[in-house]
Amino acid sequence: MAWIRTVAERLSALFRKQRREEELDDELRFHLEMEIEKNLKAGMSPAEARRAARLRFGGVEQVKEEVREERGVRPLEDLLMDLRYALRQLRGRPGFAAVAILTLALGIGANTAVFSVLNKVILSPLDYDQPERLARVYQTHEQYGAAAYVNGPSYLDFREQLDGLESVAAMYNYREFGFNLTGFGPPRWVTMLPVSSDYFDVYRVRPTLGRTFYREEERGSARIAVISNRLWRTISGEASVLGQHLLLDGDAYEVIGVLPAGFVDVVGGDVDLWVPLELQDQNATQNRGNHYLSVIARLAPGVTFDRARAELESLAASQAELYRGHVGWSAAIAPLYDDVVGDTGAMLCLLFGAAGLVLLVACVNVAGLFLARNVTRERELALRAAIGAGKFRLVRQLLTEGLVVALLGGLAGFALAYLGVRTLLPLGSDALPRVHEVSFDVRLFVFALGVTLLTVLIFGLTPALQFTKPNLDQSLRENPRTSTGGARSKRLRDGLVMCQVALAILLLIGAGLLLRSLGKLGEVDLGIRPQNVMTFEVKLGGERYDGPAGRIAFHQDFQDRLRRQPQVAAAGAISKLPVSDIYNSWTFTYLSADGEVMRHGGGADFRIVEGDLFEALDIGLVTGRLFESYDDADAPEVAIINEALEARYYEGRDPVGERIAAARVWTIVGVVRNVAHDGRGSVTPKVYLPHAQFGDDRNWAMTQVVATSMPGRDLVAIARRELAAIDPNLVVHRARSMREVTASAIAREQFAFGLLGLFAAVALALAVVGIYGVMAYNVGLRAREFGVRMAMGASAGSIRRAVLRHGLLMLGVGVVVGLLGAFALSRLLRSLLFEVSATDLTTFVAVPLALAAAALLAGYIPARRATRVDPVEVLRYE
Amino acid sequence: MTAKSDLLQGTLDMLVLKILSLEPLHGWGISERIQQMSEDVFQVNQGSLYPALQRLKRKGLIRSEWRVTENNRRARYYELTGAGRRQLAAERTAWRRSSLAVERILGAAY
Repeated sequence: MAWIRTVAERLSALFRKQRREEELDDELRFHLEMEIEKNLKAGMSPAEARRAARLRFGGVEQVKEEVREERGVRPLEDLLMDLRYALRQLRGRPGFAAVAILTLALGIGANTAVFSVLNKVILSPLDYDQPERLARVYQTHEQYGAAAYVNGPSYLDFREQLDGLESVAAMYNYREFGFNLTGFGPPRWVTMLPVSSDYFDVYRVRPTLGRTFYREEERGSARIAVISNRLWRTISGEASVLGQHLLLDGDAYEVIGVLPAGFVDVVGGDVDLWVPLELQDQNATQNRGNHYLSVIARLAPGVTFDRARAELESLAASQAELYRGHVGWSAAIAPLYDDVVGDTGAMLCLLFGAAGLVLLVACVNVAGLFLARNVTRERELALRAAIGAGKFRLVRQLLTEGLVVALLGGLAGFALAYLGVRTLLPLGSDALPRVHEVSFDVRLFVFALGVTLLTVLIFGLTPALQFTKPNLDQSLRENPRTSTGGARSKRLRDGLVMCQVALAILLLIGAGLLLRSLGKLGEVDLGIRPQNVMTFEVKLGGERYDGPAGRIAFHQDFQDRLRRQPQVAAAGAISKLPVSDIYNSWTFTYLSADGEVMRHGGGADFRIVEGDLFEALDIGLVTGRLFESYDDADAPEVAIINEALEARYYEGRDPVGERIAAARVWTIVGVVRNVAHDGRGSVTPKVYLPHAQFGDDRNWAMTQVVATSMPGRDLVAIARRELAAIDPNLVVHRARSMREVTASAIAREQFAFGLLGLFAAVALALAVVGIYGVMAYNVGLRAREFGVRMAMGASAGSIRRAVLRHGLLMLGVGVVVGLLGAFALSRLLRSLLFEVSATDLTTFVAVPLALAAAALLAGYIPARRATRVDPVEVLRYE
Repeated sequence: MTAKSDLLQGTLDMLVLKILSLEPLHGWGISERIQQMSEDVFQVNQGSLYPALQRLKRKGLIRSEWRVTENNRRARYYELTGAGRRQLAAERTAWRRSSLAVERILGAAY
């Protein structure tokens, strides 16, 4: 029952606080009066009696404080008092509060925003059952590339012969497939992924409705589909969807299954429906030259990656002995996580490091602010200690103030992070994998809270520790106008400013190097002229385009119509746009003009082109000729190669007139300039084939490329009109200017480096504020000294120099330390830099100069103020 | 609080309980009585009595109420509760036992 009384006592103590205080006063007064009376009776004078009574009693306020402590409700009551007091303190200094809270908000916000992305993209495992057993399988070529797609027969070999893999799946995500879905409301564009039947086993995803594919159904002609939960909800939402037919480009596909909500394929991308992959035709079973499949696998239980790799490599070696098409080829397997995250990890860790530095700068800044402010409060705190406040209470009071600032800063930071992530994600969607998975979760909140509390400890305790041994006597005697804040705290403050400068230098140099890389990336010669070029796709679906004649006729008719428009300089089409990755890698055989084999097996990307493609992109001809209208289905088959292929396989011979062979034999008629396949200007050998001759191979998904001086929107409107005139069922899809295409190739760098630049700017601003704050504070403390010196005849200039000299000293030390740190750390950036040295002289000179200029400006204002001190005014206070 | 009064804290609590076991009394009266009974051995600041009273009250060993003194003044009187009485008895036994033990040890040394 004791606890009930305790609780009741504590509650009533809280509510009856006022009355209790009065009663305590009465009680103690009664005591003293009785004692005085006793003393008077003993014959003392009234003054003597009073003095003796007080002496015997001890300090009244101290006794009261001790009684209050014994009441036991102190923690809560004190906390409320501390909070009220802290808020009053902050309101009294709105400038200090605003700077401190803003500083923390920036530091915490940057950290939380970056962490929320990092958390999902890097830290969290892939969202599948036993994700550590998931793998990506590639074929690799000794010259051509470390991570190529897999050819059809090899996939079947892998699936049948590798015991270390529980299941192996192939998907044809070689390019984005899309359909026009009709029959359920207005026509919509849906994305489709052809997959092998094992696909669902590898990911271990079970349909919520219906079933997935059987192995016998792995045929392109099987008109069945498994649909995503999202598509199911938009078109039906009922179990009755099973057995219904979707009209995709006019063909009816039976819905056999619905996948659960939240299933995302990290390799295949955002998919609306899955259809069986054709694995029984000649291409899949015989053609070892066509690498077009993305292969994923699940390791068998207990099998390590090393064992699976050894097994895979030995299979690849035996393939190379058996088949001519496999000469030079091997195979590789890697954890799926590594494949998905890739080098994004390094980039995000860099951003996280930068955000950490910003937080550090912010903490240093706030610590400096608190330190400077607490010197002016030394007297107030000493006074409170003298009238009975316990040391513990003083430390707690300071901690509470720190806590209030940190919590407000943390709150603002959280809001900033939320907005930041909202803003950054759309910008980063081209740059980061798994971005669609990023969201706020509990861990993120815990992290933000942790950062906040850490910050409290860092800057809240530093000033508090100063007062654990308050020298009351001295503090009380010191006139705040004459105090210089003590040598120790001054050294600490100067040290903090130097830290800030050093950290800012570190960040600015990192950002400088990366931004210079970004500048160089923007200047890379991609081999094309992206200005005034529009691109868009037209999917040819329906019976009319089942045969090659219909498709070839469409392209020629459509491009003729576009070419007739005013302001259109050239119109063509290509099977894969430049600067959008490697694609369609084939192994060719190189023949002389007479058909003699010059060389077996040399890989190259091939592209199907139609119309004035080379003119539209301004790809220059080196030797020979471009495709002409007479290179049609009846004419000898021709090809154009690029300079890289000529340099690699022709050893000084003129390739024009010689032949190359893969599925067919082509005569080379021309050589064109290289075109990059990525934003860094990388080039691979390429073979261009005319659509008019090779359009019968399959229904090529061609991207239309139009050089025009009219705005993109106008051209798309014209294209729609012309398309409708040819076939009202066709739609313009994915319209982008060539500039957007090239920009998305360096989107990742732009995203990361831009963010880092922003961090560096924040750090610079914080450092400048820090320098200004500390110098202004120092000048304020030394106002009297300056007044005296000026009264003694010192010139304003000499005082200004003295102030600036101090600022310069701090700046100098900070810059040197920062430069040394940057020199040591910048090599970590090397892999991210592009055509910029890790010790780039321009950056290492320009950054300190810029910082010094900004810092000097921040220091000059207090220095000027120092000399505006009126000696008479100052001395009057003495 | 100094180290000296910390040492005395337990003793002070016991003295207060003992005094209040005789009759209800106000703070000043208790301090006078301590002085008389201990024949000036304990030179404690009178003020340190009040935290002790508050402590005993919180433990439920004593209770207080405002009364009028014989001189017609308002004062807070403290009196023992049942728990206080039992506590005093327990402490008295413990004290006797330990002081006897100390006595025996010191006596045996000579």
